[in-house]
Amino acid sequence: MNTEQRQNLLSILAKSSLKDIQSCWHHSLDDYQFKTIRPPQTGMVMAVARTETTGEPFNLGEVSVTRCALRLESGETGVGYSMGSDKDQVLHIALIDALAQVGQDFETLSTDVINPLKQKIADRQKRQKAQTDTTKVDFLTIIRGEDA
Amino acid sequence: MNINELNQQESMIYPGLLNPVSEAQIVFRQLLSGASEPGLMMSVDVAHEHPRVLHLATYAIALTLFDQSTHLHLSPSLNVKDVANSLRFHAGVKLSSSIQKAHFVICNEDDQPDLSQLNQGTETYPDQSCTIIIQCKSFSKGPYFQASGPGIEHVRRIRCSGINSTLMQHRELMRTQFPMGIDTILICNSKFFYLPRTTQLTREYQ
Repeated sequence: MNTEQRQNLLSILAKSSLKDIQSCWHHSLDDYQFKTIRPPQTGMVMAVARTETTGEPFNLGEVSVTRCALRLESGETGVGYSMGSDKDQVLHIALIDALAQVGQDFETLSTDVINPLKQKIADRQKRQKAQTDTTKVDFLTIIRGEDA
Repeated sequence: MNINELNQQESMIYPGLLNPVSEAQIVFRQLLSGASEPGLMMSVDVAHEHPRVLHLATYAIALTLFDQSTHLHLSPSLNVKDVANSLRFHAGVKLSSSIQKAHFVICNEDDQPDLSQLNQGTETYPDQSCTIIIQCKSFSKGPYFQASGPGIEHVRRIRCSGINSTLMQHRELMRTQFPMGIDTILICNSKFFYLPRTTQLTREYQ
Protein backbone atom coordinates (compact mmCIF):
# COMPACT_ATOMS: atom_id res chain seq x y z
CA MET A 1 0.00 0.00 0.00
CA ASN A 2 1.55 3.30 -1.00
CA THR A 3 0.82 6.68 0.56
CA GLU A 4 -1.85 7.59 -1.98
CA GLN A 5 -3.65 4.29 -1.50
CA ARG A 6 -3.48 4.72 2.25
CA GLN A 7 -4.88 8.26 2.07
CA ASN A 8 -7.68 6.97 -0.11
CA LEU A 9 -8.42 4.10 2.28
CA LEU A 10 -8.46 6.34 5.35
CA SER A 11 -10.59 8.93 3.59
CA ILE A 12 -13.21 6.37 2.58
CA LEU A 13 -13.29 4.77 6.02
CA ALA A 14 -13.60 8.16 7.73
CA LYS A 15 -16.67 8.95 5.65
CA SER A 16 -18.34 5.61 6.40
CA SER A 17 -20.40 4.93 9.51
CA LEU A 18 -19.58 2.02 11.79
CA LYS A 19 -22.70 0.24 10.55
CA ASP A 20 -21.52 0.54 6.95
CA ILE A 21 -18.01 -0.63 7.81
CA GLN A 22 -19.36 -3.65 9.68
CA SER A 23 -21.67 -4.53 6.81
CA CYS A 24 -18.63 -4.94 4.53
CA TRP A 25 -15.98 -6.13 6.96
CA HIS A 26 -17.15 -9.26 8.75
CA HIS A 27 -14.63 -9.42 11.58
CA SER A 28 -14.74 -8.14 15.12
CA LEU A 29 -12.03 -6.28 17.03
CA ASP A 30 -11.58 -9.38 19.18
CA ASP A 31 -10.38 -11.40 16.19
CA TYR A 32 -7.04 -9.60 16.26
CA GLN A 33 -4.26 -9.12 18.75
CA PHE A 34 -3.34 -5.47 19.04
CA LYS A 35 -2.28 -2.82 21.51
CA THR A 36 -3.62 0.73 21.51
CA ILE A 37 -0.81 3.26 21.27
CA ARG A 38 -3.30 6.07 21.65
CA PRO A 39 -6.65 4.91 22.99
CA PRO A 40 -9.69 6.41 21.20
CA GLN A 41 -10.15 10.00 22.31
CA THR A 42 -12.50 12.74 21.19
CA GLY A 43 -11.49 16.36 20.78
CA MET A 44 -12.36 19.50 18.87
CA VAL A 45 -10.92 20.60 15.55
CA MET A 46 -11.55 23.92 13.82
CA ALA A 47 -13.20 23.33 10.46
CA VAL A 48 -12.10 25.76 7.76
CA ALA A 49 -14.35 26.49 4.79
CA ARG A 50 -14.67 28.76 1.74
CA THR A 51 -17.85 30.25 0.32
CA GLU A 52 -16.69 29.39 -3.20
CA THR A 53 -13.49 28.12 -4.78
CA THR A 54 -12.07 31.63 -5.02
CA GLY A 55 -13.34 32.78 -1.61
CA GLU A 56 -11.14 33.49 1.37
CA PRO A 57 -10.97 30.61 3.87
CA PHE A 58 -12.82 31.28 7.11
CA ASN A 59 -13.40 29.36 10.33
CA LEU A 60 -16.73 27.62 10.02
CA GLY A 61 -16.81 26.31 13.57
CA GLU A 62 -15.47 23.52 15.71
CA VAL A 63 -16.33 19.92 15.01
CA SER A 64 -15.69 16.96 17.25
CA VAL A 65 -13.14 14.51 15.91
CA THR A 66 -12.23 11.11 17.35
CA ARG A 67 -8.84 9.53 16.78
CA CYS A 68 -6.91 6.47 17.80
CA ALA A 69 -3.72 4.58 16.97
CA LEU A 70 -2.90 0.94 17.51
CA ARG A 71 -0.19 -1.59 16.79
CA LEU A 72 -0.74 -5.18 15.72
CA GLU A 73 1.23 -8.01 17.30
CA SER A 74 3.07 -8.30 13.99
CA GLY A 75 4.24 -4.68 14.23
CA GLU A 76 2.06 -2.70 11.79
CA THR A 77 0.79 0.60 13.12
CA GLY A 78 -2.64 1.85 12.08
CA VAL A 79 -4.35 5.16 12.69
CA GLY A 80 -8.00 6.12 12.60
CA TYR A 81 -9.53 9.59 12.45
CA SER A 82 -13.18 10.39 12.03
CA MET A 83 -15.61 13.24 12.56
CA GLY A 84 -17.98 12.59 15.43
CA SER A 85 -17.51 10.71 18.65
CA ASP A 86 -17.80 7.05 17.67
CA LYS A 87 -14.87 5.36 19.41
CA ASP A 88 -15.70 1.94 17.99
CA GLN A 89 -15.63 3.36 14.50
CA VAL A 90 -12.10 4.78 14.82
CA LEU A 91 -10.89 1.51 16.35
CA HIS A 92 -12.22 -0.30 13.29
CA ILE A 93 -10.61 2.25 10.96
CA ALA A 94 -7.23 1.98 12.69
CA LEU A 95 -7.37 -1.80 12.67
CA ILE A 96 -8.24 -1.97 8.97
CA ASP A 97 -5.48 0.56 8.23
CA ALA A 98 -2.97 -1.61 10.08
CA LEU A 99 -4.16 -4.81 8.39
CA ALA A 100 -4.01 -3.21 4.94
CA GLN A 101 -0.28 -2.62 5.33
CA VAL A 102 0.37 -6.28 4.65
CA GLY A 103 0.59 -6.53 0.85
CA GLN A 104 -1.83 -9.32 -0.03
CA ASP A 105 -4.32 -8.30 2.67
CA PHE A 106 -4.57 -4.88 1.07
CA GLU A 107 -5.85 -6.42 -2.15
CA THR A 108 -8.51 -8.41 -0.29
CA LEU A 109 -9.55 -5.43 1.82
CA SER A 110 -9.73 -3.24 -1.26
CA THR A 111 -12.19 -5.50 -3.06
CA ASP A 112 -14.21 -6.59 0.00
CA VAL A 113 -14.35 -3.39 2.03
CA ILE A 114 -13.00 -0.26 0.41
CA ASN A 115 -14.64 -0.46 -3.00
CA PRO A 116 -18.14 -1.30 -1.67
CA LEU A 117 -17.82 1.54 0.87
CA LYS A 118 -16.72 3.90 -1.87
CA GLN A 119 -19.83 2.95 -3.84
CA LYS A 120 -22.03 3.56 -0.78
CA ILE A 121 -20.55 7.02 -0.30
CA ALA A 122 -21.07 7.85 -3.98
CA ASP A 123 -24.69 6.65 -3.77
CA ARG A 124 -25.29 8.71 -0.67
CA GLN A 125 -23.84 11.82 -2.26
CA LYS A 126 -25.92 11.25 -5.37
CA ARG A 127 -29.08 10.92 -3.28
CA GLN A 128 -28.25 14.06 -1.38
CA LYS A 129 -27.52 15.96 -4.56
CA ALA A 130 -30.81 14.86 -6.11
CA GLN A 131 -32.64 16.00 -2.99
CA THR A 132 -30.88 19.35 -2.97
CA ASP A 133 -31.41 19.89 -6.69
CA THR A 134 -35.20 19.93 -6.20
CA THR A 135 -34.80 23.12 -4.17
CA LYS A 136 -32.65 24.85 -6.78
CA VAL A 137 -33.74 28.28 -7.96
CA ASP A 138 -32.34 29.53 -11.25
CA PHE A 139 -31.86 33.23 -10.73
CA LEU A 140 -31.12 33.88 -14.38
CA THR A 141 -34.79 33.40 -15.31
CA ILE A 142 -35.95 36.22 -13.07
CA ILE A 143 -36.35 39.35 -15.15
CA ARG A 144 -36.58 42.60 -13.28
CA GLY A 145 -39.27 45.03 -14.31
CA GLU A 146 -37.02 47.91 -15.37
CA ASP A 147 -35.07 45.69 -17.79
CA ALA A 148 -38.14 44.47 -19.64
CA MET B 1 24.14 -2.99 21.70
CA ASN B 2 25.53 0.31 20.49
CA ILE B 3 23.66 3.34 19.23
CA ASN B 4 24.07 2.54 15.56
CA GLU B 5 22.52 -0.86 16.02
CA LEU B 6 19.65 0.69 17.94
CA ASN B 7 19.08 3.20 15.17
CA GLN B 8 19.00 0.54 12.52
CA GLN B 9 16.22 -1.36 14.24
CA GLU B 10 12.78 -0.74 12.94
CA SER B 11 11.43 2.02 15.09
CA MET B 12 8.35 1.57 17.15
CA ILE B 13 5.93 4.05 18.63
CA TYR B 14 5.29 3.19 22.25
CA PRO B 15 1.87 3.71 23.84
CA GLY B 16 1.33 7.08 25.50
CA LEU B 17 -0.39 7.63 28.82
CA LEU B 18 -3.39 5.31 28.92
CA ASN B 19 -5.55 7.81 30.80
CA PRO B 20 -3.96 11.03 29.59
CA VAL B 21 -5.85 13.36 31.92
CA SER B 22 -5.68 11.50 35.22
CA GLU B 23 -2.20 10.06 34.74
CA ALA B 24 -0.73 13.39 33.68
CA GLN B 25 -2.30 14.94 36.77
CA ILE B 26 -0.75 12.29 39.01
CA VAL B 27 2.71 12.81 37.49
CA PHE B 28 2.37 16.59 37.59
CA ARG B 29 1.39 16.47 41.26
CA GLN B 30 4.51 14.41 41.98
CA LEU B 31 6.66 16.91 40.09
CA LEU B 32 5.19 19.83 42.04
CA SER B 33 5.71 18.06 45.35
CA GLY B 34 9.24 17.13 44.37
CA ALA B 35 10.04 20.69 43.29
CA SER B 36 8.65 22.26 46.45
CA GLU B 37 10.41 19.81 48.75
CA PRO B 38 13.73 19.18 47.01
CA GLY B 39 15.56 16.05 48.01
CA LEU B 40 12.41 14.04 48.75
CA MET B 41 12.34 10.92 46.66
CA MET B 42 9.22 10.98 44.50
CA SER B 43 7.69 8.13 42.60
CA VAL B 44 5.79 7.86 39.34
CA ASP B 45 3.17 5.22 39.96
CA VAL B 46 1.86 4.59 36.49
CA ALA B 47 2.49 1.17 35.04
CA HIS B 48 3.73 1.73 31.57
CA GLU B 49 5.46 0.41 28.51
CA HIS B 50 8.31 2.76 27.64
CA PRO B 51 11.16 3.03 25.12
CA ARG B 52 14.01 0.84 26.26
CA VAL B 53 16.58 3.57 26.69
CA LEU B 54 14.26 5.79 28.72
CA HIS B 55 13.41 5.11 32.34
CA LEU B 56 9.74 4.80 33.30
CA ALA B 57 9.68 8.14 35.12
CA THR B 58 11.48 9.90 32.26
CA TYR B 59 8.88 8.76 29.75
CA ALA B 60 5.95 9.63 32.03
CA ILE B 61 7.36 13.08 32.87
CA ALA B 62 8.10 13.75 29.20
CA LEU B 63 4.53 12.87 28.21
CA THR B 64 3.21 15.06 31.02
CA LEU B 65 5.29 18.20 30.46
CA PHE B 66 6.08 18.34 26.77
CA ASP B 67 3.89 19.79 24.05
CA GLN B 68 4.18 21.28 20.56
CA SER B 69 6.05 24.32 21.84
CA THR B 70 8.74 22.31 23.65
CA HIS B 71 12.26 22.14 22.26
CA LEU B 72 13.88 18.95 23.42
CA HIS B 73 17.52 17.93 23.13
CA LEU B 74 18.39 14.27 23.51
CA SER B 75 21.93 13.28 24.40
CA PRO B 76 23.58 11.05 21.76
CA SER B 77 22.95 7.80 23.66
CA LEU B 78 19.23 8.54 23.89
CA ASN B 79 18.77 10.00 20.43
CA VAL B 80 17.26 6.83 18.96
CA LYS B 81 14.22 6.47 16.75
CA ASP B 82 12.03 4.81 19.40
CA VAL B 83 12.37 7.79 21.71
CA ALA B 84 12.15 10.46 19.02
CA ASN B 85 9.14 8.92 17.29
CA SER B 86 7.23 8.17 20.48
CA LEU B 87 7.68 11.66 21.92
CA ARG B 88 6.95 13.33 18.61
CA PHE B 89 3.81 11.26 18.16
CA HIS B 90 2.32 11.75 21.62
CA ALA B 91 3.62 15.15 22.68
CA GLY B 92 4.36 16.77 19.31
CA VAL B 93 7.68 17.83 20.77
CA LYS B 94 10.29 19.54 18.59
CA LEU B 95 13.64 17.78 18.69
CA SER B 96 16.46 20.23 18.44
CA SER B 97 20.07 19.44 17.82
CA SER B 98 21.01 22.79 19.32
CA ILE B 99 21.52 22.44 23.03
CA GLN B 100 21.38 26.20 23.64
CA LYS B 101 17.79 26.48 22.47
CA ALA B 102 16.45 23.46 24.32
CA HIS B 103 13.81 23.84 27.03
CA PHE B 104 14.54 20.31 28.20
CA VAL B 105 17.60 18.11 27.89
CA ILE B 106 17.43 14.40 28.61
CA CYS B 107 20.68 12.52 29.18
CA ASN B 108 22.22 9.59 30.97
CA GLU B 109 24.54 10.06 33.95
CA ASP B 110 27.60 9.11 31.90
CA ASP B 111 26.54 11.23 28.95
CA GLN B 112 25.98 14.64 30.53
CA PRO B 113 26.34 17.68 28.27
CA ASP B 114 28.32 20.81 29.05
CA LEU B 115 25.93 22.47 31.50
CA SER B 116 27.20 25.97 30.85
CA GLN B 117 25.92 25.68 27.28
CA LEU B 118 22.34 25.21 28.43
CA ASN B 119 19.93 28.12 28.44
CA GLN B 120 20.24 29.68 31.90
CA GLY B 121 17.32 32.09 31.39
CA THR B 122 17.66 35.86 31.71
CA GLU B 123 17.43 38.27 34.64
CA THR B 124 13.95 39.27 33.45
CA TYR B 125 12.78 35.78 32.54
CA PRO B 126 14.63 33.23 34.67
CA ASP B 127 11.68 30.87 34.17
CA GLN B 128 12.68 30.39 30.53
CA SER B 129 15.78 28.46 31.46
CA CYS B 130 16.43 24.84 30.58
CA THR B 131 15.55 21.86 32.76
CA ILE B 132 17.91 18.92 32.58
CA ILE B 133 16.67 15.38 33.17
CA ILE B 134 19.50 13.02 34.12
CA GLN B 135 18.85 9.28 34.12
CA CYS B 136 20.91 7.68 36.88
CA LYS B 137 21.98 4.12 37.41
CA SER B 138 21.19 3.99 41.09
CA PHE B 139 19.76 5.85 44.09
CA SER B 140 21.03 3.17 46.47
CA LYS B 141 24.65 3.19 45.38
CA GLY B 142 27.08 6.04 44.95
CA PRO B 143 28.01 8.97 47.15
CA TYR B 144 25.75 10.68 49.69
CA PHE B 145 24.87 14.34 49.35
CA GLN B 146 23.32 16.81 51.74
CA ALA B 147 20.70 19.08 50.27
CA SER B 148 19.66 22.34 51.85
CA GLY B 149 17.87 25.50 50.80
CA PRO B 150 14.26 26.61 50.21
CA GLY B 151 11.76 23.80 50.87
CA ILE B 152 14.12 21.94 53.19
CA GLU B 153 13.85 22.58 56.92
CA HIS B 154 17.31 21.41 57.94
CA VAL B 155 19.09 19.10 55.52
CA ARG B 156 18.00 16.14 53.47
CA ARG B 157 20.36 13.33 52.59
CA ILE B 158 20.19 11.90 49.14
CA ARG B 159 22.23 9.17 47.53
CA CYS B 160 22.76 9.20 43.81
CA SER B 161 25.27 7.76 41.38
CA GLY B 162 24.56 10.45 38.79
CA ILE B 163 25.85 13.60 40.47
CA ASN B 164 29.37 14.15 39.15
CA SER B 165 31.87 16.88 39.87
CA THR B 166 30.92 18.89 36.75
CA LEU B 167 27.32 19.06 37.92
CA MET B 168 28.44 20.08 41.41
CA GLN B 169 30.71 22.81 40.01
CA HIS B 170 27.95 24.16 37.83
CA ARG B 171 25.51 24.23 40.76
CA GLU B 172 28.13 26.16 42.72
CA LEU B 173 28.45 28.64 39.85
CA MET B 174 24.66 29.01 39.62
CA ARG B 175 24.54 30.34 43.17
CA THR B 176 26.33 33.47 41.97
CA GLN B 177 24.00 33.87 38.99
CA PHE B 178 20.68 33.63 40.79
CA PRO B 179 17.86 33.94 39.67
CA MET B 180 19.29 32.48 36.47
CA GLY B 181 20.23 28.82 36.39
CA ILE B 182 18.97 25.40 35.42
CA ASP B 183 16.75 22.98 37.32
CA THR B 184 17.68 19.33 37.54
CA ILE B 185 15.57 16.20 37.70
CA LEU B 186 17.46 13.04 38.67
CA ILE B 187 15.69 9.88 37.63
CA CYS B 188 16.19 6.21 38.40
CA ASN B 189 13.50 3.91 36.97
CA SER B 190 10.22 5.04 38.53
CA LYS B 191 11.82 7.25 41.23
CA PHE B 192 13.05 10.80 40.94
CA PHE B 193 14.55 13.73 42.82
CA TYR B 194 13.75 17.28 41.75
CA LEU B 195 16.56 19.70 42.46
CA PRO B 196 15.66 23.32 41.66
CA ARG B 197 18.45 25.86 41.13
CA THR B 198 18.06 27.06 44.72
CA THR B 199 18.99 23.74 46.32
CA GLN B 200 22.54 23.58 47.64
CA LEU B 201 24.26 20.25 47.48
CA THR B 202 27.30 19.26 49.52
CA ARG B 203 28.98 15.96 49.17
CA GLU B 204 29.42 13.84 52.27
CA TYR B 205 32.84 12.28 52.76
CA GLN B 206 32.96 9.44 55.25
